[in-house]
Amino acid sequence: MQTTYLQAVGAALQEEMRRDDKVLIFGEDVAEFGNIFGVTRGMLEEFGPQRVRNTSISETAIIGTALGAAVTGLRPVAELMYADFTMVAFSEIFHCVAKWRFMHGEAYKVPLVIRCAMGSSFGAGAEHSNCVESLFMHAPGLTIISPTTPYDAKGLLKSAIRSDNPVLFCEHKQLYQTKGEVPDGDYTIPIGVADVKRPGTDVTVVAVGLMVRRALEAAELLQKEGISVEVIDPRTLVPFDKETVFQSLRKTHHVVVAEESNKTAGIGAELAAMIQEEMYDELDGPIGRVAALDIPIPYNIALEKYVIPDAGRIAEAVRAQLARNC
Amino acid sequence: MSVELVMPRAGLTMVEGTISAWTVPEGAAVKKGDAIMEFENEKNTIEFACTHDGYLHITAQEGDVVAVGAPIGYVAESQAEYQALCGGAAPAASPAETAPPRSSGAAADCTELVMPRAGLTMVEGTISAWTVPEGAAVKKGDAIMEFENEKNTIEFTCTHDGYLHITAQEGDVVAVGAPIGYVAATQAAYDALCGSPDSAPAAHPAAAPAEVPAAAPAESQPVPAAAGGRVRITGLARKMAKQHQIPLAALRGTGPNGRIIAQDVKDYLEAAAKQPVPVSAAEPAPQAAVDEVKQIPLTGIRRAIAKNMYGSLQEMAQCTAAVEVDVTDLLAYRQKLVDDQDFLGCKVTVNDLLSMATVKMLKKHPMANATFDGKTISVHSSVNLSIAVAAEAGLMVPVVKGADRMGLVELHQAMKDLADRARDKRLRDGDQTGGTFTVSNVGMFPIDWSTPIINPPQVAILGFGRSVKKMAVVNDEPKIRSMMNMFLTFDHRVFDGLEVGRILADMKTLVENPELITL
Amino acid sequence: MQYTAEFLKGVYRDLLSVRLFEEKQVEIYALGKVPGHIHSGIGEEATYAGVLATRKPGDYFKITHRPVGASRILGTPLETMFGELMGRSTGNARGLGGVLHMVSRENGMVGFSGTLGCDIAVADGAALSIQMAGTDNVSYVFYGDGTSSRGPVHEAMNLAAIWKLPVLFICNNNQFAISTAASYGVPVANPGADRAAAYGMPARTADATDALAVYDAAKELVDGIRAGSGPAVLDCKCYRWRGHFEGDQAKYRDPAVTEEWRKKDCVAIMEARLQEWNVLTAEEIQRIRDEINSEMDQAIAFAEASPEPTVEDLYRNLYAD
Repeated sequence: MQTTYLQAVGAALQEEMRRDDKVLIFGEDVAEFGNIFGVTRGMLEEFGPQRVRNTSISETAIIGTALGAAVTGLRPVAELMYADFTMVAFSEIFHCVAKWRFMHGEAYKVPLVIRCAMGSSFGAGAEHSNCVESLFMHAPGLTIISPTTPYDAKGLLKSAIRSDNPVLFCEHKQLYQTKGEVPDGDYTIPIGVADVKRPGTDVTVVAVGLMVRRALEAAELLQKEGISVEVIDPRTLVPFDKETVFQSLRKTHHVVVAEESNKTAGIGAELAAMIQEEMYDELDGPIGRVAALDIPIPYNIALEKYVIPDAGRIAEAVRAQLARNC
Repeated sequence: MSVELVMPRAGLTMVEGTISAWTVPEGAAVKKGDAIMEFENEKNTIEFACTHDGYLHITAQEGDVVAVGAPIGYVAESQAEYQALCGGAAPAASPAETAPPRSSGAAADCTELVMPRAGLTMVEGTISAWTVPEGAAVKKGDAIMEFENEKNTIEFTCTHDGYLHITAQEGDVVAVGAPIGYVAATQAAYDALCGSPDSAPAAHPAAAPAEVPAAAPAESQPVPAAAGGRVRITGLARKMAKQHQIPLAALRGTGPNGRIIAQDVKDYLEAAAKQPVPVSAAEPAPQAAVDEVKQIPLTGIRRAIAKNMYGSLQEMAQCTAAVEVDVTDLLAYRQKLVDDQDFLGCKVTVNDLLSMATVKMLKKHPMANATFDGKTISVHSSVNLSIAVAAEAGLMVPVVKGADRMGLVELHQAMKDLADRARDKRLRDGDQTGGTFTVSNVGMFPIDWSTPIINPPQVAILGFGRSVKKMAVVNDEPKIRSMMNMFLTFDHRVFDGLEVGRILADMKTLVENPELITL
Repeated sequence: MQYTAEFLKGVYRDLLSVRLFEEKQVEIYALGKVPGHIHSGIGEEATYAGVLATRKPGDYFKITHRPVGASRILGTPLETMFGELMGRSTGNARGLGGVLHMVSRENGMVGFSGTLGCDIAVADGAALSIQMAGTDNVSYVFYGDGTSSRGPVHEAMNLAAIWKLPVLFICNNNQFAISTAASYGVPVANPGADRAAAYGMPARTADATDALAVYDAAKELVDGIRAGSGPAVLDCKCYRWRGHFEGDQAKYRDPAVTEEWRKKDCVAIMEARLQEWNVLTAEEIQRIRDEINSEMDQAIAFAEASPEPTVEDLYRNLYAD
């Protein structure tokens, strides 16, 4: 069935809440309003005010409450609205949620999901457009998921809710209205398994979030130039599926990492370092990085588009991989 | 029963404490909770609260630095116990340090020759050359070998009459006291000595195992046949070239910046396949010029310099600060002194003036005229100025003793004498020790500045760069002036930027007002 | 006498357990047996002994960095506590969490954080579990006068209030945030209670040199919470006897004032009262002291003999299987 990404997220929540009464959702404007993007619409009616709760604008309390609820046996799905607001509760996520089990021992389980809507578009400006995965990749103890298709979003959110570890689940705002095939009924996608979104032989593009779509567009362009691009979507950033990337690299020997957050100390920086450490002898050139410019996201929509990589910029980076000075 | 008192841990970062004062006397009756001592940690002065009731016996004294958990004294439960504690002195005297008896062992007809200790700091020597051949008849007092220690080349004089058997070869680094050869009293004894397979005299069955001869340098390894310079090549292309045994120099790089990429290896293989003579593993591929490597063992002076310089950077918190100064007036002043050389009796150099200025500065900044052993900073009242001399054999740092009591002419003469002898390898024992501060003038080279390395246990070194004519702003007007950099490396463990700032400010004042130097 | 002898003995034992633990902690820290830093809570035991006397099975607890000995009242074994304190593999987090995380989940402890204030809402979450289960249990959350000015405390109070969660917020006002006096850092006299009105919560203050006074005030609030009236705030005023950390000489405060407060020793006050009421004799008190001290010495010996955690232990608890 063709479903939007937004509907797929909602369906995962609904099905998991029906399956397990320990699952509950809370956050800003998730009840009557059904979340500002409409993800949780209808859930208050179905599950009642105990399990679908509005909070005050209190991000630190949302995260702290989710942690306490998880430690005492519930499976909360806490919503932080914009991914940018994870910063407001950074200490709660970084120090408490991620490290709680490490600091207190194996008697403590933290089965919670933090959902947030991330990414650029629509001129939301510098404080409502950020991708935050790379910031939290620095927090051992978290699982970080960034799905890019309706199918992945549903299957991974279900796995996240069933996981006994804290998960940061990053939904991309620009993807909410995109459609894709989603089977009816229950299915899950394992955490930590990458997906080859398009097979190819010349250059591997590891793309994250919205950049998966852009990389697929680039691959289409490059196909016409005779360049075959393999697009890999890690889906889960922590834990990261290295083997799928390495397998691809053994075939293509060229890799470009495409992400939407700032280039400096970003996902590309980490992946490039990791790949050259472990796969140096398979590389036939330096690793390419495509990322947002190191600048806050501007409000002006034309400039916003300029700051965030598009298919053209990814294609350029792929061509550079194969360039020769003959 | 008596209870040990230990230096307490007072704070996250505390690893040791310094006893500031005992506030009760030795033998005093003390109670649990009494403040009986004050100590300092890295942040505060803290009271030590006694942990038990009884009589205090102090073992760590005021000023002692004691590790956390190490004893500082005892509390005896009773007066009698206290007496016993004090009377008993240190528990169980440490076993007398008796060296294990060493059998002289030397057979009547064979005498071992060992690397001699030649100088305070010598721990090993490098054999430069044997001046008599193996088996030669030698006499006591003959110079038969030359060796280098960390400072000089020295002759080894034979200690006995007889026939020489050499065991340590030229270039070998031998510890002081370790064998370098033997003198056999008779030809027969010599033959016996050489005949024995392990070359050790039979009379020495229990002798320490003969020094393992330094392994001959391995057959020079085949090096990548890339004549001169680095090869730009990707990891994959390098792996492929190795698999196909293709010398990198034979590959043409067509990647960005001329980098060799996988395609270049493929192209090469394809081209080679079309050649009438196929490339095979048995027949080496086209050879590029073979790089010849000459291996130079690190010996003598070079070895000592390497050790000192490396050790210095390992052990100190070195930091360098620099200032550019206007030396136009200094050069003019020096010219004036040169014009007066007949009167002075010597030709004063710029270096003399800079050294004199340094001595002046050090009298004002005694913290820089100091040595530090890691525990205690020793500030010296007399300035013993070490001067870095670039000799062909390596860096020499002779010391002008009592430089602060010298006038300019005297300083000039002392420095010239030391520098000449350093270049001629004629320095004597003691010429390079006892320095309290070093100057290093690299102005004869096109060097503007460097970061000199401190000569331990000193705590600072001052360098001077070349003087260059530059456009400088004088009274808001552009002027051509002679400018020079001065750079001070200091041990940040001993003093801080504040002192460095003041030192460089004073040096600047002195150098820019040269009449102050000789005042 | 409104309390049973058994009850009084229980409160006293809790009080003394924390006191002796805090003293022991200082002692072994000075000997270099404890990594990191510790924050002695000597003088502040009555807040915990009094409040926790109102607890019942099924309740949840979030304690704080001072006094960590409170974990003992809740039933954490001394071996676990000293194991964790001394960084050994027998600690609850195999010696990787440390002094700020000595807990036992089976006794309802939800854990606590060294980033003060960030863990207050964790008690809201535990209270949410209680509310969902529909029991009359309470989630107890302790914090200090210093932490009382942090934003997350207020967010947690706000959320607890709007959701009517069964939370008792206990502000242990020991009058100092490291060197900053509460009289300077907090604009009201009672850092907990005076701010409760902002969230429409009932509040009480208690003299925390007296464990029974604390109990009485806590009981009133806890009874209300169990009856479903929502969160409340208890303000317990005491005095931090020692510096913030070991090695802090507390030279920023008047030693005469410290001396005055030390005279109001919550343990001595309780002991005098129990003897006066003929609940315990001096000999029995000494026996209890000796008993607790000897238990602790055994636990320390156990911890010292316990293996250091291994590199495998390092990764064992980062993620659940």
